[in-house]
Amino acid sequence: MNDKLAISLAGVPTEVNSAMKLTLPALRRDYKLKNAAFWGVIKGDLHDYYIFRGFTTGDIKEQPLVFYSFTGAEWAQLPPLSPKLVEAMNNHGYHIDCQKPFTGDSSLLLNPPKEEDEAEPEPEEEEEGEQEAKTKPEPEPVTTELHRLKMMVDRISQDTEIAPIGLYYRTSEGITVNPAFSGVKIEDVTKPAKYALKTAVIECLSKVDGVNPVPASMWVTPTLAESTPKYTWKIEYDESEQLVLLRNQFYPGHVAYVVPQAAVCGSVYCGTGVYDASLPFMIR
Amino acid sequence: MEELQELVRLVVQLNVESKDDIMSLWNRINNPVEPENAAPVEEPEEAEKKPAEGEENEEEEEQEQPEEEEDPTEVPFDSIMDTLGMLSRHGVHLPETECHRIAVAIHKFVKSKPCSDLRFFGRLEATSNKPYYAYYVLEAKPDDDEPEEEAEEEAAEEEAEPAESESTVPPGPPAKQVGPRTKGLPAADERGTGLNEFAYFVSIDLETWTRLPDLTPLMLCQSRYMAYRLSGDLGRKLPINKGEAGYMRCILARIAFSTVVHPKGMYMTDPEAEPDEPVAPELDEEWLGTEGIDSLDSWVHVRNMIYKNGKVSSFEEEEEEPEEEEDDDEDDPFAAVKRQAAALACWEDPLTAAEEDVFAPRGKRPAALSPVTADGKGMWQMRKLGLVSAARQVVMLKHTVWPGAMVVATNQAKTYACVYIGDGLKRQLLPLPPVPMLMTPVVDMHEQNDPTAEDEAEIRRKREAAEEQEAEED
Repeated sequence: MNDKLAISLAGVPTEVNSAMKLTLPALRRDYKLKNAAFWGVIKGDLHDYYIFRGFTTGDIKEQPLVFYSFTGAEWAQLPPLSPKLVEAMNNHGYHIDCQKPFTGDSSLLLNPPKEEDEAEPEPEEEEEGEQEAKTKPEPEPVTTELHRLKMMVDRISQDTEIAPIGLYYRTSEGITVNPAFSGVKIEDVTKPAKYALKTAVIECLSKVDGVNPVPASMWVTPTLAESTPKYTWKIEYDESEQLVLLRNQFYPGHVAYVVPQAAVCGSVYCGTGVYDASLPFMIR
Repeated sequence: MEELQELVRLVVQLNVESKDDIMSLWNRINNPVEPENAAPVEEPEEAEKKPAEGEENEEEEEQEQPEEEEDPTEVPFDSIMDTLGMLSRHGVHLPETECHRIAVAIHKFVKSKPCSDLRFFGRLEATSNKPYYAYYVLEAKPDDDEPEEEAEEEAAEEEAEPAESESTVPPGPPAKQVGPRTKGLPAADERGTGLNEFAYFVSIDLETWTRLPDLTPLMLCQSRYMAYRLSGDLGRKLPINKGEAGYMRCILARIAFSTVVHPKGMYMTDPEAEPDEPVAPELDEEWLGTEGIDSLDSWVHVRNMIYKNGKVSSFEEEEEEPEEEEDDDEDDPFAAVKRQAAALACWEDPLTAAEEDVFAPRGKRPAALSPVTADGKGMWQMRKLGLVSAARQVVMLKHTVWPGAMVVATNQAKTYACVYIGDGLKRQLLPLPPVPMLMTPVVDMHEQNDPTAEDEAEIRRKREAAEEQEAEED
């Protein structure tokens, strides 16, 4: 249900959609994924990246496995990120706020290795008496567009995944979906105070010990009503589809959906994968 | 799926025509060729014999029928659905229900306002300050245009009105460069020519259509230095004439003149014209399709280009303008500016439009029917979709600088469409405005206490004593 809705909101070509219907179940089985869903599309100049995410355990705090595909028929896992890789990307201008579009070339090197010059002076070896042990600097790790893709997928997920207040609660097994959650009421669907970022929910519930469910007095996480700037989120209730759509303005192409009076929510992204840093200057 | 589409088409046609005798119409639609059903064509006469609403209504029906058959501006419903459905099947986010609503809306629009060269331009997303909206845009040449006096009055009002005092400094070059130099801009084009060759109608609910105001070169130049998200309110105030309506009109013109292309061979120049003579392309009635549509060289620009000064190039005036460089009018303070504006020959290059000077001349003008490869490297991307069979292969051209501008074609470009689905913003490699330099903290700064009145008096006393000593020594 979530995949079908997400794919319909994203606007995936029919061929890719039909391929994914065959391959995604196999992917879930092979990697034993739980809570796996179609994440979205990051459009590149040459090719589009179709992203699929899943968790190996039921713990919501776990880092998900992220897969990508160009056609929906073959999937590959995105490489994990390390601080050194992120630093290498930042040094070459591919930071989180980079406005450069994705090319669609998975083998594109973001920091191609420099060619070593043939004539290199070696004064250190010629000078005698110097006993300083000079260590060579570690070579910068080579980063590709896939690393940047992983970074942006994580960033977009962190900034855009939302959950209705009360959907998750903490148990002895960890943070899971609250089976007693009856969903957002129809009269409250357009109130931003009824939703919060998933990361904020996890952070809040992680602080709570031995309380099940979390009372409202302990809910210190800011909801979408307290997000800054105030125009970040746009909430729309589609009465014909019985669906609440939330859009983050800083990521054009993102849409989160919540089914009112049900514990169903999700999000999908279909855009360029670029953070819109110019938004405050475009809204008047 | 095809059966469902056929059923939808039949139901819509019934709904639109709303004949009294639906069953006869149903038979006529389902079996238009079989001789047994040729009689239903005469059923409107039988319907007249029935005690209908009145003779006046029957006469109106008789009058309407020949008009509908002979109306050359009627856009076939099937072609719209085919085109939009093709877009929807290949990744362009236009659900089938939305395609159907658009097709019905266009059909009704044509009935209410006769026009030629009607085209579904696309959808512009409006997301700022309000819930999610989308503008649906139609491009057409209305047959019954408003008189030119109103357009002249609007242009006169625009020149008289100063820039809005509430406007903030637009991103890009400072405002002082835009103000004085815009005085040398050419006059506004009349309706049906130049920038105002096409009229644009927008709607949010696909029911009521609003015509956007005409363009002036001043508005176009100003829009190049602006980047705003559309809000869904045409009356929203922006630092441009006519507010959001005027701004959107500028965006649509820039997109249309940059991204609307046609298959090679569909248009041709006059074969009797001399090679160097600039002639506007005309539709080739003998065109039967273009082979090799999966190559960028098979797609050409037919529309004129927009100069940096906001004027649309005219094929007839192409050779005359450079000759004006020899005439120097010393009395006219804007002679140099006008000369530069007249000597412009450039594509609408949005990548550098905001960075370069407004009147900077750029290279040579490409000839008419030049391929899209002449726009520059990397401006267009080609993709092949639907690789099941060569006959059903769909080709998609995407413009990289105007994300959302695309051309989808199939069947040797006999079915193709230029559509824009986006937010009306050009791709920018730098955020607006430029990121300010980070102020590094001063580490070696030592804080000192402010001097008190006593300290100041002591310092003054020491200074006076030093001056007295210097005077004694002298």
